[in-house]
This record gives sequence, structure tokens and C-alpha cells, in this order.
Amino acid sequence: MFLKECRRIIFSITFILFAAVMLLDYWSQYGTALSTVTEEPKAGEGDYWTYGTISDVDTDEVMQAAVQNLIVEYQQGNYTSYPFGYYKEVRLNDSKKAEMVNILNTLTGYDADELLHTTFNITQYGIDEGGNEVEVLPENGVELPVVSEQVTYDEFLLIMHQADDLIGGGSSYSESSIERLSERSVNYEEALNVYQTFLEEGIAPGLARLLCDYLCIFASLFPAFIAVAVWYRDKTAKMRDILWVKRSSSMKTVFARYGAIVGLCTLVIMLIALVTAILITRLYAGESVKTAAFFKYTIIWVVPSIMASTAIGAFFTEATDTPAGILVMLVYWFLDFNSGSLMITGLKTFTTLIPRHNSQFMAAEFQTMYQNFLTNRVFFAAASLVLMLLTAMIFERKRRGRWLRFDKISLRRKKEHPA
Amino acid sequence: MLKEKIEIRNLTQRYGRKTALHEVSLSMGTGMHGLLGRNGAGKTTLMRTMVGLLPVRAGEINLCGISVQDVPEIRKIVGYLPQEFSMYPNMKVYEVLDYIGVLSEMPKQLRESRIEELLHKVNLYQERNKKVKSLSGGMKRRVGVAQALLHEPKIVIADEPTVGLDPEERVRLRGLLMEEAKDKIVILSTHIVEDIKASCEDVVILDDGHLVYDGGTTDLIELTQTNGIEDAYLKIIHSREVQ
Repeated sequence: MFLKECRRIIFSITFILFAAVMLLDYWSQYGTALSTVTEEPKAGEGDYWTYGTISDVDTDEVMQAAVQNLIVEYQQGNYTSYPFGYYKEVRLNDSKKAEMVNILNTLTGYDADELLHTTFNITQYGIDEGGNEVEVLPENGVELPVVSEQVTYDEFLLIMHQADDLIGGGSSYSESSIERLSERSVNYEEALNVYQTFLEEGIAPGLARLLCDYLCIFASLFPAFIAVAVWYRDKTAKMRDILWVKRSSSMKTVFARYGAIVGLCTLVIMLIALVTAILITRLYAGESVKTAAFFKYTIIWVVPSIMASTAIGAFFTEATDTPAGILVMLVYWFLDFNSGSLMITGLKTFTTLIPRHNSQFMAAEFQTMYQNFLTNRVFFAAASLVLMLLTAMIFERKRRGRWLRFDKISLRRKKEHPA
Repeated sequence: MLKEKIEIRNLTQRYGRKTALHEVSLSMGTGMHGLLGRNGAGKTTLMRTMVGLLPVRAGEINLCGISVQDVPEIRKIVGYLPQEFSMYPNMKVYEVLDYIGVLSEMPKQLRESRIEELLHKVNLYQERNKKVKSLSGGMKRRVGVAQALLHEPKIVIADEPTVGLDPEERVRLRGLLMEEAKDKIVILSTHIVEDIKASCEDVVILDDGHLVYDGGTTDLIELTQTNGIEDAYLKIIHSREVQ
């Protein structure tokens, strides 16, 4: 039955679309990694951003910069935030304004009136006569008090968290943004170290993580579409009564379909991993490339997302008799994709469907989160199987006329199947 | 050895507050049985209950000695042709039967030989590589009959199989079912009296969920002192309306 389902799915439009999107995404996002050899950094280049960032900027500077920014926004009455990755200007009501004054007062010692009317010695941006953006420092500006003399860094982070809550989340004062304020580009010595770790790891692990980072984005979404199409087709093709009276158990039917979708989607990404392994081996000819990493990471990283996406599509279609699975998956995917960090260090919850690690370096950072990452992946694989068990139970109840038996549904069924 | 008999005792089925079947009791052996009644008489409810698609609210149904509550066993011995059905439109006729054969857990060799045999029987062998969406309504019905017979069930239940077919297709389809009825229990549900007259020796008449007749077609004519099944059926129904 598994092979029959595979045959049915492999020629379906939704599956072909999935394969096309994966290939397109792979080519457009990963093309550079396939064609450019990562070279040893050379001293005196001055810019080592491509080798990563390090979060070790002086915390005093971070605190000072954040408070300066917060004062400017308070004086303007507008706060910038990026809920789910989208730009938004926020204006606070009176009670929230008062709370924000309390926060600024704790950090600076100034009261509301002083905060509003004092010209602080804060660099702002303006436009010069040529239309270029320039930094402007006000004349006779008052120096801001040193924030680190008012609070410790830990206290500061807590206060910033409150400020972010007042703004509604996604502001420059959220934990991930504050951390970003403390990031800087690596220097030459650090870049050299990053490069050597990349080589010592065997080249492929770093590139495999970057590959999975890209593949996982759409592999977490499109399998749901395939599942919805497969499950919903029984209804639209008026095949349900015929299928329901056949001998095959619900568990067998449901899991054969599930296995076929997950198996075929996995086959697509494994083929991509195989092609990548071949191309990278050629690109780094003469170097020791641990190609197995492409397959290892693809399986443990991307397959659980495929399993989850398929299970969500199947479950909601079976439970509601509608293509609701698509909507549920789109909302989940959209929120997850836009709220997640670009780095694995942002993986903080069990519900992160799309773990990100948008770098071929930062192996040490990845390793520190590796246990969390594995737990997250096992959780998704296990939750998917549970969801499919529930789907099989609903399927069996429907076959016996025992799903949603309250009057309205029964009457609707009566209308569909007049006596 | 399974008893080749259907036994229904005091079957009552409800949809919410509406009672669709009132304490129906009947018995059927090998052969072709007509199930006659107006739209809404309870025919589909009775058949869907018999194949396990609806739970039994009250009463008892035994198919060849197996309680209808034992749904997995019932699925093995029943072939069902629903009133409203279609097939996956992009599948070919052979593919759809093969898929259904897999769902019926038939071994590959048996599946292949049985599909070929049935395609000849329902006169669709030439169309085996055509997509379902390109078939006429009559052809689809014949594929429907083929899928119901595929796993060689002991009982075949066909719900209004002749609706919407032209006279030639109706005769062909009735003929097919009559042939199967030689060694099976075949139930043909219809509201077209002519189908019963042409193919059934026994008839069950349902009206508003009540069993109003269960017996031979000739006995029905004698009982009602009429000239044919159509008159007999109308007389029974009208007498109930007067009551």
C-alpha cells in the first residue's frame, strides 16, 4: 500500500510543486556556497564579517546605547518595533507612557518633565545639503548619566524586557536585539581561528548546517499542502464510502499515506544533500571533506519538520473535513519563521519548527545548543507520530459513523446521504 | 463455513430526534433482493448500517453469522456500491481497481487476475487505460460494480445503482448483479419498480422508516390483488398514506 500511495503522490501537482520550490530555494540561497571556496582570511583585510560575529562588546556601551535610543524614541513619542519581522510604529497610551518614564527614571534619574525637555548629548541622524545621511550632535547637549552606575547589567536586561513589553514586543529592547547590540565582527585572529575550526571539523558539517538552515524553511511548510491534497481528495472525489468499507485497517491506510508523503519529501531533500556532497567534494578537492554530515544533518534537522508539517496537514483535514490544515500550517509557519532568530542560539522553545543557523561557521555556538536542538527535533518527530495516531483514530471513527455525532452534523450527513 | 444469510432484528436508527428506521426485522438468503421505497424511506440508512458505516442504535444485524458490530470482519465479506460515488478522476480504470484491491488486502496475483476478469465482465476491458474522468456515467457505475465485487464478497449491497442510467445501461447493470446473485446475497436498492420486476424474486418495501413488506414478488401481487408489482407497490404505499 505504501508503494501505491507513493505512486499516487509522486505525480501529484502539490508534490511536484514541493520539489520545484525546494530546488529553486536551494539554487538561489545555496548557490554561493556551491561555487565559492571559503579561503583563509588574510591579515590586514580589515573586514571579517563573513567569518561571523562575537558578542563581547563592553556591556557599559550596550547599556548607554540602548538608553540613548530609548530617550530619543520617548521624546519623539514613537517607538519602532518589528513584530513577526515587520516594521511597526508604536505610540503608547498615558498609563504606558508613565511606566516608560519610571523605567527611564530608574536608568537615568531624570523625571518625566526633564526627560521630555532636556537636550541630551545624543548623536542623531539628519540629512545634509547633498541629501546624504549624517550624524548630528546637538550643541550644548547635556551628558547622560552613566547607566552602569545606576543598575547592574542583569538588572538592565530585566528593565529592557519591561520596556519591550510596553512597546508590544519586537522592539530594539527585546532580548535578541539587545544581544545584537553587543555583537561585533571578528578580528583577524578570531577569523583565522573560525576558518581553522571549519577545516578541522571537516568542511562539510558547517556547510551542511547552512544547507539545512535553508532547506528547513520550505520543508516545514509545503508537505502540509501535499497532505491536505491527499486527504481532502477522498472527499472531493467522492471516494470515502468506497474506501471506508474496505478491509485495510485505518492505522495501515493512514500511516501508509503518511509514510509515502514523508518518504518522498525526504527523498527530495536527500537528493539535494547528495548533489551538495558531490559538488562540495569537487569544490574542496584535496581537502578532507566529511560528506556524511550532509546526510546526517538533513535527516535529524529537516525530516522532523517534514513529519510535523505533514501531520498537521493530515490531522486538520481529517478532523474538520476541510482544507483547514493549510491555514493552520501557514499561520504556524509564518509566526515561527518571523519570530525566530537567524541563529541556533535563538532556539529556546520546544515549538520552534524551523531551527535557524544561517552560518557555515559558529560551530562552537552550534555545539552549545546541540542538546536543545536534538530535544526539539525529537519532540517534533514524536508529536507528529502522536498527531498521526489521532488522525487514524478519527479516520476509524468516521468509517463507523461515530465522528461528531451531535445533531447538526448528523442532520448534515443525513442531507448528504438521504435515506 | 459461514451461513449465507442476513438477519436483522428490531433495528431502529435515529438522526438526532428523527427516527429513520423503526424496529425493522427481516431475513435474506442467497439471491437477488430488491429494496424498494420512496426517497427518504430509510433504504440508504439501512444499507449504510449493514456495511458498518453507521453505528447500530438499537437492534441487531447479523451478516453470514457475523454481528455488524464486528466491523473489521464485516468489511471482509461485504461489497458496497454507494448511491453517490466517484473515483479519483486522474487515475486510470485499472489503477483505481488495483488501488482498491490493495485496500482490500488482496495478494498481487489474485488482484491482477480478478481485475482482468471483472473488466471483461463489466465490459470495460477496452477502457482499462482510460482516466476515470473521461468515462460516461454508466461506465463509472460499472467500475463501481467492479470495485464492489473485486474481493469476492459474500454479500453485495448496491444503493440505487441504476439512477441516471439510460435503459440499455440499466439492463446491463441489472444483468451483472443477477449473475452475481447466483451464489451471493445481492441487495439492490431502488425506487424504480421496473428494476425489481426485472431482476428480483424477493422484495423488501420500506416506507417512512417502517418495513411494510418482506417476501416474494408474486406473493406481493397476490396479497394486494393487483396485476403487477408497480400496482402492488402503489397500493401498499397509498393504503399507508390513508392510515
